[in-house]
Amino acid sequence: MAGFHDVFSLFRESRREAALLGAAAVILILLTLFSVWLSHRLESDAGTAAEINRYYAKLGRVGRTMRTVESSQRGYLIAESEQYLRPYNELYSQLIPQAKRLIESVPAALEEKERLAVLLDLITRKANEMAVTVADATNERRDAAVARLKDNYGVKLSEQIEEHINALQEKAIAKRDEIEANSAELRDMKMIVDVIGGVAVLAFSFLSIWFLMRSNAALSRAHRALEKTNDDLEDIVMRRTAALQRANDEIQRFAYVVSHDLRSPLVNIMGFTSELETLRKDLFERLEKANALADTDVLGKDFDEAFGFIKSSIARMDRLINAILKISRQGSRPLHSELIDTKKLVESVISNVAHQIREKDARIAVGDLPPILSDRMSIEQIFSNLIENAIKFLKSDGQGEIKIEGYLRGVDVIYSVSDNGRGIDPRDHQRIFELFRRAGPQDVPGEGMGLAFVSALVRRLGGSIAVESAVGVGSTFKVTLPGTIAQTRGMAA
Amino acid sequence: MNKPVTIVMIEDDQGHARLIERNIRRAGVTNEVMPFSDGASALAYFKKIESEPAELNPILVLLDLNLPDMSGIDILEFLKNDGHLRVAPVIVLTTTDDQLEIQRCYDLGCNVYITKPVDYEQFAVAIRQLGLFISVIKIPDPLNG
Repeated sequence: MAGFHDVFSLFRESRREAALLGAAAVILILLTLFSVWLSHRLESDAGTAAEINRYYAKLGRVGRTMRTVESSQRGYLIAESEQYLRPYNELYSQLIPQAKRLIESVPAALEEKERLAVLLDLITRKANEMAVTVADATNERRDAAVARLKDNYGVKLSEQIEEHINALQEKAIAKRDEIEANSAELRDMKMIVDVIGGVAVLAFSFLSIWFLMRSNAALSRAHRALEKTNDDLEDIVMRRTAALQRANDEIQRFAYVVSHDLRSPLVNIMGFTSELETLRKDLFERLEKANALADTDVLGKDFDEAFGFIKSSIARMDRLINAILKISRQGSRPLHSELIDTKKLVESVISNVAHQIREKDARIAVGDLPPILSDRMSIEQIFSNLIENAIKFLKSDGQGEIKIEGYLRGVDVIYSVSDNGRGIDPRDHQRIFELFRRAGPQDVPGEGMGLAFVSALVRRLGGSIAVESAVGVGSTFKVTLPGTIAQTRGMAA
Repeated sequence: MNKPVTIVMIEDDQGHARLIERNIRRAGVTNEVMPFSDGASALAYFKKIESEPAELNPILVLLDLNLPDMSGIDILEFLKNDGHLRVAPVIVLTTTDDQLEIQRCYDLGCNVYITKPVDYEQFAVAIRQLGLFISVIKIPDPLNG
């Protein structure tokens, strides 16, 4: 049973494979999550770097605006030309808002709020200084304006602002470089993770394919083993059937030969017994004539008794041999399947035994009998034996009743023959179907052959027979037959 | 004038042979009975007489089918395929009452088939009737049709 073993080990294997594949799936999911997280991280870092770049540019712009406004202020003071004041007028108002926007847009990563506040303060002071200077110059207080210029307050503010901007820009660049360096590392890591993930996917795919192929191979191995077992079984069944057929044929031949060879000596025994009887008559006539014996009557009776026993024994033996012959012939007779109107068949069987029924003063009722596709001669024999039996064992009180009924159960047809005769002891229910065995008081002639014959017929048609009976109440013989006889059954006895 | 018919009896059972002969005699048949207890010696006899014209050796065959050395059917076949002997009446006398076998014998050209009944009265009656049959039977003359 290699096949079953394979199937079992297949189950065990597949459990291990499932665990392995599950672990593989978990690993793949973790790798994917890690890779996704890295992508997000890289994206946000790139965003921060871009933000820092924009912030850096804004710092530069604030510085440039401050310078432009300052040089415009100075040009105006030196040249006293309104033409120099135009850039001042254009940009002055933007200086403070630019500085304020800068504070708003500083990236959180830089932590520069305090220094920017200082820067704003410086720019505000510078703006005030420039505004006051320009106002003085415009309002004919040029000396005061020049004097303020000379005390270098404005220059110092400018220098301080530039220093702050430079420091801020340097810090921003440093931060950006740090982020970019970090991003490069992350990118390397992501690449490694992705490569590992790819390799893992490939590896697990190959693993799965390998598992599949292995379990497929095991399955087809199991399949082949099963097929082989099947073939072997069929072979075994065929061989057994052939052996049974041979044994059966042998028994048939044996029964046939035995019954014939037993008959030959029986003819002699019977023949020469009759010859002896003739001789006896001659002998006794002569003895009487010679008056040699006084009591020839007694002697003659003894002779006759002996002859009687011999003859009745021979007759009985002949009937037994005929019974064996009949069963053996029945077994070798081919079956012919035809549609039988069972009711009609039973009525004709009954008409053949009408005399016995009248003798017993019995009533016989035939119910609705379903037709059957079977061997006519066998069905006829079955009914005639069962009906004759039923009549034979009825009580002779004129109350005898026989009922013949039938019905369908699935594909089977069931016929029953019931009587209210003397019944059969339950201990004998099996025995009565055996050859030459009888039950109850032996007051009815017969060889114990009928039911054995019926049972052989029913078996040959692929059916079964059963009896329900109680002593003194009656018997019901129930014959279950397949609705159609299979062609192969024609071979079996 | 034809030569009287010789009854060739092929029967392996001596008892049966004796009973048959006795009952034929009782029926008043006086023809010569030539017994054979096996098939081979009977065939040898048939081969000896087959070259002579049938009217010189008119025979009637009583044949048992169950012979120790061959089947009576073989002998029946031989007789019915023989140029001269085919006209000889053949009476098959055997224990077999198998319808198929009986039919086979008739098909091969047996004239009468008798089953040996165990009931002796019946047997005796059958043989005596056979005796009557033998005494009235006229062997056909192959020359004069």
